[in-house]
Amino acid sequence: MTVDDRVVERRLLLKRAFPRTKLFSIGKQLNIPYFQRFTTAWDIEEDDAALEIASAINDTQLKEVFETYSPREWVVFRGGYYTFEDDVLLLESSWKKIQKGLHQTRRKYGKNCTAVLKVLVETGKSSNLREIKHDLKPGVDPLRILEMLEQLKVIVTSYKGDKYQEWKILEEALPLIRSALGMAPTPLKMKPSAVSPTLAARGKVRELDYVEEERRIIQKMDRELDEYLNELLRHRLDATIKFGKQFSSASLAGYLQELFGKILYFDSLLSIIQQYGLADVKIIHQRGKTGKRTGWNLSLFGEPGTGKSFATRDMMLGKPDAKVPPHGIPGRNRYAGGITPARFIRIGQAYVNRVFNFIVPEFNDWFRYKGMVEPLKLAMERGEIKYEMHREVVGPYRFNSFFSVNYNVTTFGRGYEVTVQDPNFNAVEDRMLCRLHRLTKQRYLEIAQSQMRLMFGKIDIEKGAQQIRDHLTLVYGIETRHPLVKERFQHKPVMLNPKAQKMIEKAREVILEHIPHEVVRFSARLEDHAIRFACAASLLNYFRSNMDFVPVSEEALRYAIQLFVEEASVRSREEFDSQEVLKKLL
Amino acid sequence: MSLPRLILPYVVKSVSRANPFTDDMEIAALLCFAEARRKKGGFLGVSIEKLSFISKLHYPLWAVPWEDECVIVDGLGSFSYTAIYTKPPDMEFFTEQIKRSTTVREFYRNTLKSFAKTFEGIIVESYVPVEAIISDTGILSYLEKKLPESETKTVSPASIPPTLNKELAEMAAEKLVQDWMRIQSEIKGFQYAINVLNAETRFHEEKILREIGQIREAYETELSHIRPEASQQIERLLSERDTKLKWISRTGESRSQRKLREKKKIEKQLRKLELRSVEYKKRREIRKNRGDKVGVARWTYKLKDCENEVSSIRRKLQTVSRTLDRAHRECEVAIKKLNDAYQDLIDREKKRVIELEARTDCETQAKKNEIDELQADTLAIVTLIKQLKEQKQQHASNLKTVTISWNPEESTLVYVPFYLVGYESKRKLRYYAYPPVVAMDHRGILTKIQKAFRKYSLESRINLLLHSSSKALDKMFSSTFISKMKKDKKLSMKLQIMGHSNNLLDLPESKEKLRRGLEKIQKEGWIKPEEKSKILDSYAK
Repeated sequence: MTVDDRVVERRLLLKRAFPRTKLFSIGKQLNIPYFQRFTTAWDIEEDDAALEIASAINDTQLKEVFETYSPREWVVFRGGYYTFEDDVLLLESSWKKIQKGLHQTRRKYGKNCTAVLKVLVETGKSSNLREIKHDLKPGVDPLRILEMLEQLKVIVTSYKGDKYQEWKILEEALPLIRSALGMAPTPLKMKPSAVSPTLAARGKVRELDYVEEERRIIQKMDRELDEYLNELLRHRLDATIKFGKQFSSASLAGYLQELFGKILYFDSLLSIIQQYGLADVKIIHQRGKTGKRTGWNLSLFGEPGTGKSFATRDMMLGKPDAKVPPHGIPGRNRYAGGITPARFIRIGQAYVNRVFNFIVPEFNDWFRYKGMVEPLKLAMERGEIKYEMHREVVGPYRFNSFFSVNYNVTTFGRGYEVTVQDPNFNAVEDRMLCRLHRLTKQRYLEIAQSQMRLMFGKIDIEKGAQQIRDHLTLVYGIETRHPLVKERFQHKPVMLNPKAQKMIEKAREVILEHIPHEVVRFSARLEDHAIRFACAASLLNYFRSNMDFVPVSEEALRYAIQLFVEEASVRSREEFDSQEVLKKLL
Repeated sequence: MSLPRLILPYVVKSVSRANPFTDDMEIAALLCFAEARRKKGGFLGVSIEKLSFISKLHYPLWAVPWEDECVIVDGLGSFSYTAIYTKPPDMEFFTEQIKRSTTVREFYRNTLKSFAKTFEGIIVESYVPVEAIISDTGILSYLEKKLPESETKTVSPASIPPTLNKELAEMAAEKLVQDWMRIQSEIKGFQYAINVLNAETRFHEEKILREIGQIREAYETELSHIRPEASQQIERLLSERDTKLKWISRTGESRSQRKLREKKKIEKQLRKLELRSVEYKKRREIRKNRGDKVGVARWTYKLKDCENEVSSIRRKLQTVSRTLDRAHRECEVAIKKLNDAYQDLIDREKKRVIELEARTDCETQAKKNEIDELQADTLAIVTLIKQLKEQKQQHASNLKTVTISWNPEESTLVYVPFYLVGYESKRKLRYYAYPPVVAMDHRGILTKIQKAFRKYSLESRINLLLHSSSKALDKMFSSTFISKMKKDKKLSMKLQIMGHSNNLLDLPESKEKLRRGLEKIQKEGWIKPEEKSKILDSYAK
């Protein structure tokens, strides 16, 4: 063990023995800078707070802390450095006792005892009799073994129901048990602290398990979605269904136009419709499957200050300071600002078989690192990612989530120039639905006006945002067969009709007619994006359709055609006038 | 370093007013006001007053920044704000008890029950006075509107020095901020408690579901043994029963056959005897027709003998028929008895499975009920906590109502101009304060009430020219400020000195200004020429 282990164990002890209010008081009393940033105990992160205190004190001070602030007398701690039991803190190890108990039990029960312990170690959490029995030879009764292990303080009862019990190995005793069982030792886990760069600099944080940490974030996000959906079902279900019967992409566009004006609204419309697409619903046609789904990646690029971040981040996650409530699906948007691409590729492992939306501002920063295009291209295609570095290999794993990104480009009278130097960046762009933003007078005016209106409270987004978010979350829950709603509502695929095919074909024809030469500067993926967009936008009509499927709506198709034409024009460096083409088509 | 000071405008032109409203006009109109309100003596012993002074002074207010807004603190400390504070239940104790009971479900259930009433009912409210904070919405909305029109100046000589310096003003505002932060903290505490409670209940739900899984598995194991055992047993019983049934049927049938054969034989005998009897009758008849008495007697005897035999055979037939019926009945009864006996045994076997299945359902249902109960208890507590949270949120937003959306970089002294008029009579000195006003346009009013207007008193006409800016501000100056002056002798003295030293009537240029001002307001029709002359005679000679 090293000095770090002692800090880690101290942190675990502090977190277990004190509630957050006491950690806050201790931190304040010790004048630890971390705590100066908070005015109330309810704002601190217990993990961070315990770590900060653990790093700031020595054993004598720890003893004083336990004497001054009465700890939770019901908790038990049996570490390699500290023991806390029956409300008494001892600056000594419990491990000798545990080792002795382990030895005794193994002597009595032999391999069966080892097997029981292995189950407890491998599950890493509470296990019940059934789970323990599962891995034992038939006829072996683990109850007696467990009783003896508990009596000898090797394990503890972690849960007790009427005729039900679970046991676990205390986290601090795990390294010892693992080593006794001949398993590879794993150090006590340390949560990477968002506020402890100082500690990191001091070398106190030894190991950061990115994937594990990300899994915790996912759990938190899952909880957020469950809680929101639960609340919605309990209190706002009828209102949401009623709202859903009137709601469509046109009414969403109307709501956004009223808030942001006739140019600016389109970005937020795209972002919200992308959220509907996240349910990744199957797209079918009259004769069967298309093999496509509604999810797609969104990219807003253009000059700084054109409202890209507002549409992708603020509208989805909310920005209370600017009085913008969130419109996105709760717990399904992972904000990835400030994350390096290498870290993203590592944490991506936690998202296998899960569909989330990664909001990445300043996406171009990710391409400062060489060799990033290929793994990101695979991520955009939802392919299998494998990333090999000098010291580690990440993957292979399949990435199923989507992106909503923005980045700056230099725009010219016609076309644009990306700030990303990697020539393959076009390949990444090609896998996203892209919108170019120019800071035109009209856009400037609308941004400035909506800023003012928001600032002076002349527009109230609160109610509209809540209704849209409720509808979005409910539709998402239904279409992803969320356990809370799957029994109540029918999952419906989106059905494409021949009209959609005709409209896309017509658009293709007219665009190609308007391109003055033989070379086409965009790929057929644009059509695919347009179809996915139209299908995602049709999900807004879920409650308006009484059929077993959601038919693709005409208004959604019109927006899709607009997107298709405009993106084709931008990619062709505006060799043809998109407005002229649209006039012919719509 | 000097503090930033802002001075609000005294007169603001109304939107409809086209002509400028000059300083001269301001002085002239105010003097008209003062003159009109001066007691001129008369009946009921009202003593004649003399206009002792008319001065333009400035009332000090502090604008202390708070987030993107600011709190207005009365520089003279005349105002105060009372915040409502409700003491919340000890959320730390609650969450600790909840966490403590995590490992034992029964303990958790009891803990939930014990907290069922904790958050119920209205918590005792206490009133926390925050001195010098202006909370009057009228005054605040006036300031909010006018602060952007204010101008930055160095200290005006005619400003009332604030009794609350910057530090004291900031302390007063800080008290408010502290209250707000305390409420915010309590709101977060409530939310934390809700989160802990929901998470713990979810934890227990998950454990109960696992327990249900374990119960089901245990019963399934038992059932997996019992089900085949029972079906095997049932199969054996059925086959045993069928064998026995077959034997009973066979035995019954052979017995019946035997009797049936006997019956048929007797019936045959009977038929023969009956034919014989008919034959005998026929022969007796022949003998009778021949007159053969002996023959008749012989055949009569034979006939009688035959009939006796028929009767005996019939009796025998009846006996055999009865025996046959009995044999049938006995066979049926035996079959039924056997069936019943075996059905009972089969049912007993089936019951073993059904009972075990019912026990599984009953136990799992009991566990599900336990989940429902936990959820209901949790929801009840969460609802009560949410109500308290909403109440606190309301208190927090009430506190925020004392702010205005103006964001100075630092605490700023804001001066509200007003005219203080002192009237002196033999007995006492009387004060009158004129808060900021809006100057109206004469044209609209004159066209509307042209005839009546001339009959209006001077005060009413000036009242039409100078509209009140805000009723709350009128009240502040006419009531709060004047009462403070009456109570605070020191302040009264200070203001009296300031009034005299800034007396407009004593300023060298004021006579000329007054003349120009009166001229202009007379031109607009607000005063009559004779009123103008009288005022000039009195104050501008």
